[in-house]
Amino acid sequence: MQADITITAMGVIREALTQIARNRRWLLPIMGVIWLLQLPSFFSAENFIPQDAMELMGLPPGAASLIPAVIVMLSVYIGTA
Amino acid sequence: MIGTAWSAVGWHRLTLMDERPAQALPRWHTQPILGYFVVSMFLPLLTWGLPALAVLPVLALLRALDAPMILTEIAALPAGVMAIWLSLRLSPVQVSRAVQNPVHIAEAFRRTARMSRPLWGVALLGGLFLGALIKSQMLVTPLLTDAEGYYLSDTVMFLDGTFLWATFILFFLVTISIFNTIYRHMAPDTEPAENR
Repeated sequence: MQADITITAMGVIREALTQIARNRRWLLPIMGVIWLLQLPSFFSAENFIPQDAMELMGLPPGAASLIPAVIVMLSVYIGTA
Repeated sequence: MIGTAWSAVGWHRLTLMDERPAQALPRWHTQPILGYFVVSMFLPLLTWGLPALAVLPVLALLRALDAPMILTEIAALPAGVMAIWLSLRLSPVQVSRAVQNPVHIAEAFRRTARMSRPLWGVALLGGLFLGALIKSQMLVTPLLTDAEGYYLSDTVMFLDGTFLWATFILFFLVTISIFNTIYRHMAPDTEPAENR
């Protein structure tokens, strides 16, 4: 690996962006599933899970009821957005 | 956090070692992922902690004087740029964990010394980019909330969270790609001492 003392700030940024463009077809397998699973962490539990609606449906919050609730809610959001 | 480390290690190994991911996920490597995770937890204590300590008295003074927010932001900018610059200089510590060729803190600082000046430029641009991302989030949220700060609807709340998520992914991808570039261009370990 050769040290490059001629690289500039714009050179570093250009190379980083080129790297993303060159490897774009691998972005989905590297980031897709992992970041989709991390999406709920960007919401508080109260905001992401409609707990009031779950209780109305007789589904008190818990591990078993949260998973189908998330799937249903995502489907609703995707379907109505 | 483990998911983020797994994703970052997958990207580093793809671009630096040409290791293709598996079908739907990056390949799992316990040692590199855990090493990357631990380093990512503790390195910011140094890279962001030192500049924060330096700027804290100034921020405390501005607060005591009830200075406007813009003055606080201007005072915090040099510390932010310094923190990003330090993070870039020490980024080989993280990347090297991903490719299983550990580089330690002092060694990373020494081997990136010749890139110091361009990295100040990257840090400044990075600071502005980070600032623009944060500002965009701060501008969008008030449009989606009422006078009391509550979201206008559940869908709006979901979209705001999704915007934050997409912003974070963009920031993450650009950052780890810059880390890769620095790792590629840092001086080799075998360089004669007089050139260091």
